[in-house]
Amino acid sequence: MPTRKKLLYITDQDEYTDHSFITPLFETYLKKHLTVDIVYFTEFKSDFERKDAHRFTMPTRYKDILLDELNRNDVPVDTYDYVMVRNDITIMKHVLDEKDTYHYKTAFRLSMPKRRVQIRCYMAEGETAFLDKMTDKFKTYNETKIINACDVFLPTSPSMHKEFFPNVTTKTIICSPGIDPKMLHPNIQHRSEEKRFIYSGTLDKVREFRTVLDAFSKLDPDTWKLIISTRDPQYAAELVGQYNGLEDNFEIHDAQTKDELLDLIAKADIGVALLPDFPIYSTSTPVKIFDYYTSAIPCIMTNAKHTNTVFTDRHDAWFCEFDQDAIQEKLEYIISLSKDTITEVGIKGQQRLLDIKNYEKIAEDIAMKLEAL
Amino acid sequence: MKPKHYDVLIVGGGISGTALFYELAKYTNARSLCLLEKYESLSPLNSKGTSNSQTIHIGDIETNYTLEKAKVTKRTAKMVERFCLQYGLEDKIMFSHQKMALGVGEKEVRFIENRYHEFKELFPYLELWDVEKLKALEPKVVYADKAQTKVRSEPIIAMGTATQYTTVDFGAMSEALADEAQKASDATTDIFYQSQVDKIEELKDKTFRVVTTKGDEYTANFVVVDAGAHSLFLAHQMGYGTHMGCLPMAGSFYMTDAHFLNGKVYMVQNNKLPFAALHGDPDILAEGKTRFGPTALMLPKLERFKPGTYLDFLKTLNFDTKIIKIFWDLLKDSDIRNYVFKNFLFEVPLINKKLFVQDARKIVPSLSVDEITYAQGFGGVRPQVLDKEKEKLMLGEASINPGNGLIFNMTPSPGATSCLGNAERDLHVIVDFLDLTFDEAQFTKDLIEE
Repeated sequence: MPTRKKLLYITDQDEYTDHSFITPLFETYLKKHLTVDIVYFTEFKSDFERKDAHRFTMPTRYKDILLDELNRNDVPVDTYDYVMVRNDITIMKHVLDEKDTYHYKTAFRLSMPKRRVQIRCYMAEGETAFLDKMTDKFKTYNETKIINACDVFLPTSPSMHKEFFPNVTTKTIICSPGIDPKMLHPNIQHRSEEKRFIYSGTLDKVREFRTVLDAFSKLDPDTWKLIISTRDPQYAAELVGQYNGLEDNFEIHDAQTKDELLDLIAKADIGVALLPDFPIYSTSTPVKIFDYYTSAIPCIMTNAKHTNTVFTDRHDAWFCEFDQDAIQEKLEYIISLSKDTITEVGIKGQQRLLDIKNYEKIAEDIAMKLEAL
Repeated sequence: MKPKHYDVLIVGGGISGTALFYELAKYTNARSLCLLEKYESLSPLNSKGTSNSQTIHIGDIETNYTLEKAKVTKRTAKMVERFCLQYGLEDKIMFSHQKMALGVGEKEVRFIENRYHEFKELFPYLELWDVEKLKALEPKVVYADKAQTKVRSEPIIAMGTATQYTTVDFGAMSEALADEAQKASDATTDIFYQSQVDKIEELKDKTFRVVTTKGDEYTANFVVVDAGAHSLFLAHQMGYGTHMGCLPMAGSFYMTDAHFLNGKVYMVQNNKLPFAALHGDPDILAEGKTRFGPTALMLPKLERFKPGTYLDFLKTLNFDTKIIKIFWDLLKDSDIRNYVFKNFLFEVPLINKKLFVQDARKIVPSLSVDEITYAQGFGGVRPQVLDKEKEKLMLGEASINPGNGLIFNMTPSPGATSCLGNAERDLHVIVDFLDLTFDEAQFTKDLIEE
C-alpha cells in the first residue's frame, strides 16, 4: 500500500477564527486523500501548542523561524510532502528558503490579496501618492517572484489571479470557497407576510451599505424586514438609526460562530450580497453567498463575473447593478414573488453550488493536482 | 577541622530553596540537609512580599499560557494552596481576592471570550464578566471619569473569579516551609544564615565542597543552587551553563494612597514579552492600598536594593557576540524596543509617574498622576535567561542539571507558584541519585490529591 502523503497547511489566521473554509476543505475532505496538519497563530499565548494530533498553534513571534520551532516541538518538517502557506508572503519566503533542507513541494494559497486590495481602494479614492504606487509595484514584483518560485499557486478565482498577480506563471489550482454537502440546511418557510432579508458580514464605508439601506427605505415598510449580522453591531445600529420610522424593520445581531450564523440565516427568506464594483468584490464569490445557499436561502447579488458565471438571474439567484434605483427595483420584484417561488430559487441555487462549488469535489481536484506535481 | 557533611545542601533560602528543603525533610529518608542563606533571614530578595505581586499563577487569568501549560501550573499552584491549608495558613499568609484578566478593545475582547470557553473545562469556576457585571465588581475599570458617569469608549470584557485563593505572601511561606521541614524530620536540618557561597567544588570522591565568603566549609553528596540570578553565576564558575547568559530585569511598582481596586486586574499579555503585563493588585503588605506594576528595567546587578553585585552581573551576562545578536534581534522588534524604552522612562524622576499613568489607564481609565506614588523599596529582579545556542531570550524558568549531583535553578515568574512542583522535580533527581526512599503516598495525599 502506498504511503499516505502529508500536507502542512500554514494559515495566517488566529487559532480562534471561525475556520469555515479550512474545516470542511482541509480538515474534512482533503483528509480523505492526504494527511493534513494545520498551523494557526496566536498573538497572545507565549508557547507552541498542540490542539490535537493535527492542529498546532504557534505564537506570532516565531513566524520567522516557524519551521525550526515545529521541529523543536516534535513536528518533524521533513515528513511533509507539501507545505502550503495561506496569504503570508514572509512565511512563504521562509518555507521556500528551507525547501532544500526538507525536500517538500511548496504551495501558496491566496484567499485575499489584502495589501493590494487596500492600495486599490486608496487609489480609487485618490488617496495614494506617487511613492505609494511605486512601493506597491515593487512589493508586487517581489511577491510575484516568490509565488513563481512555488510549485503551485492557489488563488480563490481565475479573475483574482488575473487582476492582482497577472505575472504569476507557476502552475495554478483554483481554490474557491464552496458549499459543504454535509452542512446543508433545508429551506424553512415563514408564516409571516413580510419578506425577511438577511445581510451577514462586515459593514464599513468601503462596502457602501448605505446605498442598500436607501433602497430598502423606499419600499413599503410592511413588506420587508432586514436582519443584519455583523462583527460591529454598534456601527450597524448607527447606520440603521438614520432611517427614522423604520426601527422595527431592522434586527441587528453579532453571530459569534458559524452555527449561530446559520441559525439566523434559517430565519430569513432572502440573502443580500450587494457590494460595490471593487476588484476585491468582483474577483471572488463572497463567503456569505455560500452561507445563504447552505440553508437554501436564495440571494440578491451584484451582477459580476464571479456571480454570473455561477448563477443565472431569476433562476437560482437575482442579479442587480449596485445603485439605489436598480436595487430598489429588484427588491420590489422579489417582494412581489410568492414564498414558494423564492424557496424554489433557493433550492436551485443550492443544487447549482453542489454541482460546481462543492468542497468534496474541490478537495478531490486539489489532491489530484498536488499528486501530479 | 573537617567540614560538616550533608546528604543534600541547598544554596538559597528563597521560596524555591525552602520548598525543596521541606519536601526532602518531610518525604524522604535523607539523613542530613543543609540550607545556606546569604542574608540574615529567609526570602530577603525576590520571594519577598515587596518584590512581586505575590500572585498564585494558576494559569486561569494568565493570558499568555497555553492550555497545556495551564494544566501544569494548575497542579503546582494547587500544591502551594494545599500546603497552606494543611498548616492552617489561610487568611494568615494565603488570601482570597477577586481576580480577572481584562480584555480592552475588540481584538482582546474576542480573545478573552474564546479563551474563556477554551479554559472553562480546566477552571470550571471561571466566569465571563461583561460591562454590566464589571460595574458592580470592579467599577474603576469600567468608567472613564472619576464620578463614574461615563463608561469608557472601548469595548471591555473580563474572565475571572471571586472564589479562589489568589495571593500568598511567599516570604512568609518560605519561613513556614523551613519551620515545617525542621519539625517534620528527625534528620539534621541545618539552616545557616549570612552564608554567602563563594565557590562550589567537585571533589575526587564525587561529593561537593561548598565554601562561603566567611571561609566556612561544608561538603555534600548533592548540591542544589536556588539562588536566583546567582545560580547561573555559580554554574558558570563551575563550567556549567556556559551557553546561557543572565539578563536581570528589575520591576518597580506604583501604589495608590487609598483602596482602589477590589481585586487583581491583569491585562492581556503581549506574547513577545517574557514579563507579566501591567496589573493592579490589592497589596497584602500595605493594607487597603492597590499596587500597579511591575515595570521592567534592565539592571546591571543581580540583586535589587542590596549593595554590589555589579561585577557578578557582568560575569553572569556572559557577554559575547551571541549576546549582542540576541539583543539586536530583540530590539529589532518595534514592540520590544518601545517597551524597553518606555520602561526605562518609567524610572526617570519627574516624568515617570505621568508616563506610567498613561499605561495604567488601560486598567483604570480615570487614574490620575496625583493618585499614585512610586513604591519606594518595592520591586525585585527577575533573572531572564539568554540562550546563546538558540540565540534567543528564554521565557520562564531554566534549570541546569549536569547529572553529577548538581542542579542550578533560575526561577523567575511563575517560579514562586511553581516552587513545590519544581522541588518535586529536583527531589526525584536527588532520590534517584542518592538512592533514597520517597514517601510518594504521603506526598500525594498532602500536596496533590483533591
